[in-house]
Amino acid sequence: MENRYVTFDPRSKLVTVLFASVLLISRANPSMEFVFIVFITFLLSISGSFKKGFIILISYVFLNFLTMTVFHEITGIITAIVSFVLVVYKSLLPPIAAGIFATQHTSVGEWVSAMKKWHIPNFLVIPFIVICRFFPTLRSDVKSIRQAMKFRGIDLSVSEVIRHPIQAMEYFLVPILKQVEYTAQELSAAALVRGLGFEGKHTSVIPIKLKIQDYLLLASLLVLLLVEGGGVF
Amino acid sequence: MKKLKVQDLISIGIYATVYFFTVFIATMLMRFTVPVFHSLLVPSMSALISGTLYIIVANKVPKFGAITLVGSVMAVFFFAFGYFPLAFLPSFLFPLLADFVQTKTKISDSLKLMVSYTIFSFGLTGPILPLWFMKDAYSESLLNKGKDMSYVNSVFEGVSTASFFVSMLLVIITSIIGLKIGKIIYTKHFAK
Repeated sequence: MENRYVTFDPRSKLVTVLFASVLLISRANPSMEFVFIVFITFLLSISGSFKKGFIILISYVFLNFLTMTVFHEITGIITAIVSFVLVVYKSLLPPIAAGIFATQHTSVGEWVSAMKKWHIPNFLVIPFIVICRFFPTLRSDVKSIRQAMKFRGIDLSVSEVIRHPIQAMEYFLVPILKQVEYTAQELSAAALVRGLGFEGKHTSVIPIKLKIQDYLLLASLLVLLLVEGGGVF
Repeated sequence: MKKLKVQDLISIGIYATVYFFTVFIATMLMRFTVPVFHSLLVPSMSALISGTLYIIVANKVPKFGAITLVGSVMAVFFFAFGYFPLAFLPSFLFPLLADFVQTKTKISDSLKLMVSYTIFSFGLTGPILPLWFMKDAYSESLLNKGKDMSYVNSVFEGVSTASFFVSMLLVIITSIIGLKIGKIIYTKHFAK
């Protein structure tokens, strides 16, 4: 698969997510947070989602701006709450950015072969594949159920849900759960045909290998970690 | 211990997707009806609507591991989308505990289901717990700005501690109601 964007290994993406979480727990200083956001923006741009990276950067700057200027002076309970929410969102932004970076342009197959490489047991890999594959099916199921409900004159608007909550729930959830049972049976049959129940070693067509950009990414994360650690002491 | 077969794993994956979906519905319902603090009510709302699903999972795959895996889908989601690490721990630990209660203990069936479902519902409290834990980070930043500690406490005391207990108690109440509703729907449509 020829691609003009830089691609990263799923494993180094996961390390990036972990790093963002560590950054959040250790309550890194604001400049480090900013550096990381810029770093993620850069990563997103070179891997082909420039717009998303840009939005993240802008919203980080905007949140920071709000905290610094408008809600700098805390005068009452309202400003306190708003400023608290701002702080929470701002510190949650780096891990969210890392999560977007990790899930962009990574196919299910790549994740699966990375998981296999890590010897993650079947009872975790199989539900994971099923969830990823089943989600679009569920979405189209929900769409057709809603259409059928509209056809019968049952609206699923907010006001209707508040007026008849149990009815809305029943009419909506029961068809989904019924449909799901059939899908489970079909998928089990398909999986058995494809040899998913096979006990021995499985092979994969997707090569999982750390490339030069992965090493660069990991190295720069290590440098950031060292700088952060150095700042603490 | 009966081992989970491939078919069971596939059913678990599918039910986990549906569970994820019900949590999504709960979040959306809260977002459009309750202002500002909607996230505090998400665990109780989803406890209210996922009772049927829980009964189905407990009946269809009565083996240890099913409930844990279904609950852990939220853990994976919280992890992958970079919430707090604390956020993914409860959504793994509480379902695990619920799983133990459901498959290993020997109390009467209906009581067992109720207790394990209540524990299970607490799994979603992960993302909102930081609202109380990250209070420290917030007050730290306030202190750095030159506010004194008593001011910080006065701002947050009433909001935080009370809302914590209210939302936790609400989870217990709604999960009991949710299971009752779930049972009605289950016996009407699914019990054979």
